[in-house]
Amino acid sequence: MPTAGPRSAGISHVAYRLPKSRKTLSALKRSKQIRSSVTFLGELGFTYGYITEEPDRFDELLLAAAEEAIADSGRSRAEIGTLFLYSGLNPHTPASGGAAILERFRYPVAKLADRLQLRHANAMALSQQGCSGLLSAINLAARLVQTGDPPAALCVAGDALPKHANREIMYNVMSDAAAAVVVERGSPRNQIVSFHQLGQPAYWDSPQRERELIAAYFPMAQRAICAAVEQAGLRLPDIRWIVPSNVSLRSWTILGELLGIPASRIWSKNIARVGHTVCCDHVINLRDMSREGVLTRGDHLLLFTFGFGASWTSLILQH
Amino acid sequence: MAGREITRHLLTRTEMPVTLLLHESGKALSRPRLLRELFRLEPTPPLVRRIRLVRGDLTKDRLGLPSSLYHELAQSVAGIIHAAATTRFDLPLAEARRVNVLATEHLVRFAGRCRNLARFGLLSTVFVSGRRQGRILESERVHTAGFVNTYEQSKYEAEALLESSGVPYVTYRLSTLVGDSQTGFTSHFTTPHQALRVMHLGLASLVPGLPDYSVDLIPTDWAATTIVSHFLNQSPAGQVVHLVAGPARSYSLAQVIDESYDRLGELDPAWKARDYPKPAIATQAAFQLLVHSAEQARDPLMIGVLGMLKYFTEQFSYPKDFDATNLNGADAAPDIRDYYGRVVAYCLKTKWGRRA
Repeated sequence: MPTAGPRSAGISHVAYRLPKSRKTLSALKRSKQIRSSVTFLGELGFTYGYITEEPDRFDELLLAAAEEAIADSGRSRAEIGTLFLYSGLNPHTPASGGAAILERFRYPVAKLADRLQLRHANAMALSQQGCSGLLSAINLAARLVQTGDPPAALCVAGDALPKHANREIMYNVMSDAAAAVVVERGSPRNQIVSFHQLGQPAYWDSPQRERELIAAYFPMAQRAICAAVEQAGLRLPDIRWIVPSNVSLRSWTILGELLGIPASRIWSKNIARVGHTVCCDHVINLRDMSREGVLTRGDHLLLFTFGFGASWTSLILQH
Repeated sequence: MAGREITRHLLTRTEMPVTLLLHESGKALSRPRLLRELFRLEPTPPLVRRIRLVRGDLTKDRLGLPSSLYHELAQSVAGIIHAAATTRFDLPLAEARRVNVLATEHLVRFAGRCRNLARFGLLSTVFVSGRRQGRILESERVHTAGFVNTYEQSKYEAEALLESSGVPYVTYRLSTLVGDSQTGFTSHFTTPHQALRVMHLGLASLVPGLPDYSVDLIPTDWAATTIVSHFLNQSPAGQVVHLVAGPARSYSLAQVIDESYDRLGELDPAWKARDYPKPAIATQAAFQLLVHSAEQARDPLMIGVLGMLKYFTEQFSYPKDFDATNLNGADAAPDIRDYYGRVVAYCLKTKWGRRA
């Protein structure tokens, strides 16, 4: 059983929102939003892609997820000292060329803080860690609440691709989503046991080095996961659940084989139900695992993802 | 690769005349050019005079030779070293058999007509043992463990054919050749070299096998010296000789990956700066899934890379220890630690054969 020390930190509450609209693989193929065959992507475990109809609707998703997480936590706005917004693919990217220079200073994180009425929170936006972004934000938030006065931080994340954009990245079907996490000092659940990120900045040019990234994925994933487990003073069999990013099921099968972790310990239901959402997958999965009652107090959970840039990130929680 | 080095050795270390049966594709080669280009020898008149070139095709009846020449050769030949083979692992079985079994059958038939024949040497592979594991004796061939690729199977069948032929044979089962121990030179960039190239390209992802599998590699010059010496010593007919380095002189699979990255990094600092991760040693199941995914994705580069590895790396899951009793006191193979760096350097210098 975990015992939350006064300075330990963890994820106390999570919430997420998906767009109302979703397309099947066949529909995505018809609208030329996936390149690979429907059969192939189906074999990789995908079924749907969730699509935000308008950028403004995406803002509503972010807001709704954040409000729900704050409400569930029971924390007052004053107790939230930091707001992190992670978004790697901001749909509000300012127009170039003739747009007024001030357009570039319309910050989504400030807007979100305003709408959430987080008037005393230090609001910061993070980007450019791809799918690793939210886990990094959680790690930063945990450090802040462990050392600072306010006992809680809010991490909000989300990404939305342009409505008609290609939704297949390296054989993964991409969905839009928003998620929010409250990180608390002395959290009663999901204490952060270890965080390990392996960076490979030499891979920064993702389009040019796509195949090298695919080749590097598994050996680096193995290293990042094993390092996090070792850092936590655990062994792989101690991990009750792998909470995956919702990249292809095939890749998780291979990684599971590589690590000697049976498929039954990789909670992969949402690969088919949701698809891959850049950085919200873990929150969506944690929430759904909790709803389905698969988590038991004390379980060690390993959250792993790869992010362009490139980074391979593992976060171990004790539920 | 071995055939060239054996011929080079015969020409430089003995005085005997050498008849070379060359495939039609080598038609344009004159003897001086052949000496220079294939055997890296200065074509001095005495050396040129010792060579007889015969153009033929082992896969055809009478070796593809005119009848008169066929019979004339049968009168004069005293020893045969059969080094012609396809060493590709990915051929359909029928094609591998055509080159490796049918050619042996024709050559054995010819050998049966050679009145003065003292010895018929067949170059084979220790991997006729296929998927067997554990101690592999020179005296054993027959097994039902199956094979990793069609090369292994076709060589197994060629050995069987020779065994039952009545010809005075010696079978030389070679381990994996990697090049010259002094210079790193290789005439053929085979699977181990291509695996190194995949690492250099940053495309090495998974290698199936066991980390402590002993990757037995031998240098071409040692193999040629040992074979020629054994062949000329008139050892008993019907022998099988394993030419292996043995576990003490070999890297494990994990070590050969580490050493490859260390050597490439030392020799190519720009490559080192790219910081490619070493491939993970994986189960066959994981590797096969990756291969299957590349095939389904129709990614030609990854199919090529993984396809090249898949016909070879399966052996890394069947650990073996080869008996080498019949080497009979010949010098042991050089330790891979003493020359692997030269092999890597040669690959880099020639860009895997693309730069002469």
